[in-house]
Amino acid sequence: MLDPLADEYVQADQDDPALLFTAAYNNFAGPVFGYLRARGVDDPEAVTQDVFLALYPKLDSLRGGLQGAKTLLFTIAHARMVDHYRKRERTPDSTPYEVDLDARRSPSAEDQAFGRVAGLGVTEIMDDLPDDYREVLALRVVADVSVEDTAAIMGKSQGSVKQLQRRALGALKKRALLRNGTS
Amino acid sequence: MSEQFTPRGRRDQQAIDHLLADSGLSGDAALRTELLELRSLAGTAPLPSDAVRALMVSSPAATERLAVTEQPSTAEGPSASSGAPTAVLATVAPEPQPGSAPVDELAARRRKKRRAAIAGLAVAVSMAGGATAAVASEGGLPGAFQHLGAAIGSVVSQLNPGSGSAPQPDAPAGTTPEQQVPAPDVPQQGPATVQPQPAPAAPVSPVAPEPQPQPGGEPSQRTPNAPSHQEPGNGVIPTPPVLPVTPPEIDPSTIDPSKLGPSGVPVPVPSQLVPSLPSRP
Repeated sequence: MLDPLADEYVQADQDDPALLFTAAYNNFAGPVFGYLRARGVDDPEAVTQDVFLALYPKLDSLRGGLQGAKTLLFTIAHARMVDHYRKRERTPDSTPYEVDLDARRSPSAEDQAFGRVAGLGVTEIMDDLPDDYREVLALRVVADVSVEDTAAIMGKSQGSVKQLQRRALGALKKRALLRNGTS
Repeated sequence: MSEQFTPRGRRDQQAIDHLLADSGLSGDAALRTELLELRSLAGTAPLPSDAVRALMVSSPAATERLAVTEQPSTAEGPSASSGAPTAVLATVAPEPQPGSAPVDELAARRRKKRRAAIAGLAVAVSMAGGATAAVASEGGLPGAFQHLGAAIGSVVSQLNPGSGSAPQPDAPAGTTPEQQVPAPDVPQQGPATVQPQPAPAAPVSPVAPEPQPQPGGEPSQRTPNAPSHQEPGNGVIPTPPVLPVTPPEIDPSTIDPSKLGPSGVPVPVPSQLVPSLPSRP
């Protein structure tokens, strides 16, 4: 969760946007990066920087301190993710074949040993889930966004978000059982 | 393993447990492990890029203040010592870049707009000046000077109470001097205002024949002009032979003005400028 003292500090220095921006980056750069990775965005590092650059001009009108910055950050990140998928739909995949980029190969033992620790296996599981499930899991589990903010970001009611979360967890459980059984 | 997660990992575990409890899956260990792995995606924070770093707190004093505010939280409990974000701040602190990049950008944009407006105004003014000069100087630079001198002369003559004539203000500056000024008048005004040399005689020459038939009533005014046209500088211009106000065989001094009648030839405009001529001789 959010560091309450850091939130107090930023609330006391709201007139300095640089302080709030620094605290927001230190607290939420990881969750934003993880959210973008979980959603399969290409080059999540660059998109993370873009999200924070888009946050800075809105800090003057921002209310709610770090918590407000967090909600706004993930709203921006969600919009960037939607833009990414729309762009990908419009753009035909015309890249030449490269062995290193071929995802159909089976991972080596080393990749399984180290990549799984880094969370790569989880993203593979999430790739098979429906889009709504992936979104609610990325927001609720990876980004640690509250139900209210998740509902606001996804444009749904809180009840439907809770229902979606329950179904997504059930689907993830099935996939996990399947993967553990096969591997 | 669990020792590595200590502060952050424990917090993550609590959040996952809470999430599972909300969904009615609190006892599911396999799903809990998967969710913890999923949660670990948020553990790595990328280093800020140069653009992001430029917007962050740059002064060491502010960094110290931020560090001081975070220190009591580590003393209070485990929730504050999130290692990775603080490490990010430590890398950001030594950067000396100012954080006012957007303000400078806005000011530069405004300055650019203002500069464009001034440049556009200057171009419009210069084009208007050029067009005016082109209209005024059909005969080149000397012609422009002559037109300027004639315009000034017309303004001066208009200001003088004695020479108030109606057609002068009506006609454009470039045409009035040629229409109203007969042969003797142009050398009078041109040298007085602009150039003292016979250069103005060139435009005068085509005008000169017009007043010949008309000034029959005032032959004494024409006589002083004949020598002026015969000056060596005017040798090129063939107008003086055309000019004879009185035939050479007639002596102007012997002409009796009372015997002269109207010639019947319609007299053109230059009769209006007669008031300026008597003052010369």
